[in-house]
Amino acid sequence: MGDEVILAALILNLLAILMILFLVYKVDRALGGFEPYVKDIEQMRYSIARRGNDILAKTISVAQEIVRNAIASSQKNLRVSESLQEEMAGVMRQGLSQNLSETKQMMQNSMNDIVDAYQKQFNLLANEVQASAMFAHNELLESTKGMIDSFGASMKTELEGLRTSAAERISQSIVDAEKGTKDYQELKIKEIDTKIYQLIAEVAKKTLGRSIDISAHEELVMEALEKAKKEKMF
Amino acid sequence: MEEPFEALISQIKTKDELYLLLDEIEEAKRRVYQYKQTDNLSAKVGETASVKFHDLIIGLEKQGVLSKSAASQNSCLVKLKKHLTNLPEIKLIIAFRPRQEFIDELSSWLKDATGQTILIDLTIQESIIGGLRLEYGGEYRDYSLVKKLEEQFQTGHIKYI
Repeated sequence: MGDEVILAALILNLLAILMILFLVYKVDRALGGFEPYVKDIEQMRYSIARRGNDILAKTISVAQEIVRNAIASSQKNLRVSESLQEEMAGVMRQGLSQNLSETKQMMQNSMNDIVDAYQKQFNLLANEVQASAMFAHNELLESTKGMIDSFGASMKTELEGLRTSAAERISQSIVDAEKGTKDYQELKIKEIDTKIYQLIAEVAKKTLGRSIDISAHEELVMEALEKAKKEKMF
Repeated sequence: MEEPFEALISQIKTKDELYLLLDEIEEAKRRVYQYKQTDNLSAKVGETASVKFHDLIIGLEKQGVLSKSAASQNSCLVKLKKHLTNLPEIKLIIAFRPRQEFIDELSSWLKDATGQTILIDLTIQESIIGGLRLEYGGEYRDYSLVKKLEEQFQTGHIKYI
C-alpha cells in the first residue's frame, strides 16, 4: 500500500514538472513576439533624448543672450543715474543756499519786531507801575494818619488797663513771695532744729560716756542682762 | 572625753583668750613629733607654753588622759581644739574697758543663766555712751544709753533752749 502511494506521488510530481516546463516554453515564445516592439521603443527613446538635448542647448544659449543684454542695459542705466544724481545735488545745494539766506533775513526781521514790541510793552508797564505806586503811597499815608488818630485813643485805654493789671500782678507776686519766704523760713528752722539735735546727741555721746564711772557702767550692763533674761533671750 | 577639759574650759571666758589658747594648742601639735616619741607632752612643750596651759597638760597627764604616745597626744590636742571651737558665744558691746573681775562676773552670770559655759565676744564702743548691745542665739537687743537718748529726742521729751 505504501509503495503505491509513493509511486502515485512520484507520477504526480513528474506531471507537475512537465507542466512547468511547458509553461516556460510558452512564455519564452510570447516574449519573443514582443522583441520588435521593444526595439522600436528604444529607438524612439533615443530620438526623444537627442531632441531634448538640442532644445536644452538652445534654451541655454537664449538665456545667456538675455542675461548679457540685461547686464548691458543695467550698466547703461547706472551711468545715467549717476549723472542725474550729480545734477540733482547741484540743484539742491543751490536751493538750500537760497533758502538759508532768506530764512536768516526773515528771522532778523522777526527779532527786530519782537524787540520793538517788548520795548513798547515795558515802557507802558513802567508808567503803570509808577502811577500805581503813587496811588498806593497816597492811600497808605491817608490810612496811617487815620490809624494813628484812633490808636492814640485806644492806647490811652490800653495803658490804663495795663497799669491796673501790673499793679494787681505785683501785689499777687508780693503775697506769693511772702508766703514762699515763710515756708522757706519754716523749712530752714526745721533743718536747723534737726542739726542741733544731732549736735547735742554727738556731744552727749562723747561726754556722757566718760562722765559715767566704771561701777555705774557695770551696773548698767548687769541691768541690761537682767532685762534680756526677763525677755527670754537666754 | 569632755570632762577632762572642763577645768581648762572654765578658765576661758572671752574669745581673745580662746584665740591665745588655740595658738598654744597649734604650737603643742607641732612639737608632738619633733621630740623623742616617748617623752611626755608637758616635756615637749616645755617653757614655750604659758603656765596655765602647762599646768593643764600636767593635770591631763596625771589623770591619764595624755599618755607618752605621740599619736595619742596629737589626737587629744585635736579633740581639745574641736571642743573649744564649738563652744557657744555671746557678742557683747559695751562703752567702757572692763576689769577682769567684771568679765569673770559676766561669765559666771551667763553660765548661771544658760547652764553652760559661754564665750564672750567683747567689743568696746564709746559711742553707745553706756549700757549694752548684745547678740545671742540669732537674737539682737539694744539696751544702750545712746538709743534711749535718741528716743528722747525723737519723742520731743528733750528740747534745746
